[in-house]
Amino acid sequence: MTPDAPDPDMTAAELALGLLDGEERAAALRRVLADPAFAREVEEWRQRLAGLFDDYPEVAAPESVAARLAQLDARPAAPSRPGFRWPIAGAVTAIAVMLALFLVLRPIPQAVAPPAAHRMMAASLVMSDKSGAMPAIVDMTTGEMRVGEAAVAPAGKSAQLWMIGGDGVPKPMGVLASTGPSRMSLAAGQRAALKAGITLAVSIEPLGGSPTGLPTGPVVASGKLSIA
Amino acid sequence: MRPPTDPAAARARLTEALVRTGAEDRAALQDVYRLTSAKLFGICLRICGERSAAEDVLHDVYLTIWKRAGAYEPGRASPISWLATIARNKAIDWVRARGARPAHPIEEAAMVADTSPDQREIAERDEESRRLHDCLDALDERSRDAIRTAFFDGVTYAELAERKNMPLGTMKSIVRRGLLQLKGCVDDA
Repeated sequence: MTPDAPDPDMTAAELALGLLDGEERAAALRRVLADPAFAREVEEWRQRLAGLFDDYPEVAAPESVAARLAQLDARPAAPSRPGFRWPIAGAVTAIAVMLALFLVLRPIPQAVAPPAAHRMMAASLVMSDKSGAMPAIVDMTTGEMRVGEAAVAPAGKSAQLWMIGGDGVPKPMGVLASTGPSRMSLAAGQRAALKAGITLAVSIEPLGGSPTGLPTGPVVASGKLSIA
Repeated sequence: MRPPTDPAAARARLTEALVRTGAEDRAALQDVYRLTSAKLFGICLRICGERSAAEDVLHDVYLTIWKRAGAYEPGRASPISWLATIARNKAIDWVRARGARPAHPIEEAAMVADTSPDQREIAERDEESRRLHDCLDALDERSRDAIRTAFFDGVTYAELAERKNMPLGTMKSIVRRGLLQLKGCVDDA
């Protein structure tokens, strides 16, 4: 190995380790969305390095955390300490508000049906630059999806929503409204693929959405879907 | 409650608690907490560098575990690695959202990157972990030190270069070559 030889491309390892920041990190995250082989490589690096977790010394956790957890109830809890600057705290509240509105605004069902399991799912799509987050809510019964307002696309571009499941391949869900909250109706196939833990992501695309069926522009927000 | 000393039994017990947590069993979350909180708090404390922040992050980590446990696939990753990855990522997010980290890690989480683990810790390593450690030991000292610091402290290239007083490009080369060698060693073994 000579000092002048170019460095090997270790981007997958660098992303898994958290070495990247700024545009390099954004580019690597885009590659995870667009390139399943690369996404697998990142996951392989996570597993390859997992043995290093053994070397963190254990430190007895404070009783206060256990006490706060014991009070956990079925509703999503927001961090309780005042003044703690948690970037997604606002998004958790936004999801709760949106969920409430969504439930109020839903048409009253004609017959009282037993509630289906996991009828609502939600995600907090945290901006890549940590400037905020937008809530996304899916009614699993009707396939109706709403995404909170977030004017993320510059003029002449569209913001497009993607879902990334276990296969790591982004699948288009729809183009977001340029202003105001977005509403979209998911096809039965799309709805069936939604489950807790899958990733939703928003990328910036040419007006009207990606021409290729895969993200082509930067990912500006992402989050994991969970049961609401 | 200490985890069982037999690693296979400990893993089975944690997997079972995590799967029950995924089924929204709150008592199971408490079990996961008892089995893992010392390890996950060690991770949060090391990366956040301050106790009150580490406590808040730890709380958030278990809320995340509560919400995401349903997505845990027992066959794909060891339960403690899955949980530790959540803790490490949350702690890194906290540090980077705040924009700065304390100048010195606090004493309780003293420089693990530079100290050798004790015999009990070595005995508890599974085969994959032993192989990784052997391969790290085979790297030259600068690569090993940089990779271990990047992992334990969750720092970026820029922070790593600053700490080691090295130009950014040199730091990247050292880490990349070390990672390539590490991959070859781990995958060949």
